[in-house]
Amino acid sequence: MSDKPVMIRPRNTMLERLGGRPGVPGKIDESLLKKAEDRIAEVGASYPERVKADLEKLVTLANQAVSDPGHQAKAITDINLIVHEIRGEGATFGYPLLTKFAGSLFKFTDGLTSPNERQLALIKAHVDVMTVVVKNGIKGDGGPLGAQIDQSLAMAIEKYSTHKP
Amino acid sequence: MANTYNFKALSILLVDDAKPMADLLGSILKELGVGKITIHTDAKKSMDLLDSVAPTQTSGVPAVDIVISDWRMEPISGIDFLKWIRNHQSDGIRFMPFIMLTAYSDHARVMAARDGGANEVLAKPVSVHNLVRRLLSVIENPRPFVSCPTYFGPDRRRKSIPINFPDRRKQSPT
Repeated sequence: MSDKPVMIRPRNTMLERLGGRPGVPGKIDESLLKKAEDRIAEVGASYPERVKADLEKLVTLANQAVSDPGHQAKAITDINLIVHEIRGEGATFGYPLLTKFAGSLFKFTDGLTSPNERQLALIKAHVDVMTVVVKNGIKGDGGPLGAQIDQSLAMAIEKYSTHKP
Repeated sequence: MANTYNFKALSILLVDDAKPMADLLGSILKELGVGKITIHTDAKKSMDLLDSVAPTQTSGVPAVDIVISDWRMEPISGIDFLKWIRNHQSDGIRFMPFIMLTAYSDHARVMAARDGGANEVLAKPVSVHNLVRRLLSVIENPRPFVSCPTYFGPDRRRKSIPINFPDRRKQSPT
């Protein structure tokens, strides 16, 4: 391979096959966009029910991390995997606060292998607020209740953190 | 006047080990009229599929037009899957448009996807608007590929900004 960068224009027939024209921005039928939006709303309606199972797993894992030091690292890794998915899904289905809290817990648990008591308490605090969001069906920013929950987590972080998430 | 796309002739390979998200994206693509949607929850299956269609990808209508893959997957991650595609011996596979789907939204991750050869990064939460924007970008503005010892993938310079030094890149037809 030459050391000099080479620019290649691969053959691309997509535009032509899909009814597009070079240099002319196309669009998608508004009715199809609406159907797709409706589909998200439809799937989102059952999201709280589905995420409850994940939250129950998080509660179990958070307890396991406290009570079973031998499996602590594995429990934290599993928590990290679950909240990674929740942070991607929450806001997709109208629960941005859930995404925010899951994202905070994801960052906090990423690479965390041997947590101290304060860090374990902070993990539980995250799981608690996520549960409150789902249990109360708090969509959007959650208004005053959302702000209250957000503040309570911020206080827990302040209280328990040795390093802040 | 803007033309309206018909996605019936579009074939998308969707890979996400989180089945609910894979199903949701599949449903959105179906509602948008995408003619063929293949969903895998394991990148290994997608590699096998692409290996099997590689000989016909460059002759006639490709079996797969676009790959949308989640980043964080096990045992093969989205970034490893992307590298596998960009290093494939078949032109029909290695030039394939790749949209990286991820809940990682930090700048470093976006840059890592770009440096791995992703055409687009679609950050979760997913919205119809964002998904469509990425698809149209790949369809309407296919960037040329750059091949050099340290990188193979779509040109990372999206904007045409005047540079005050010679462009070392040679133009080459496919």
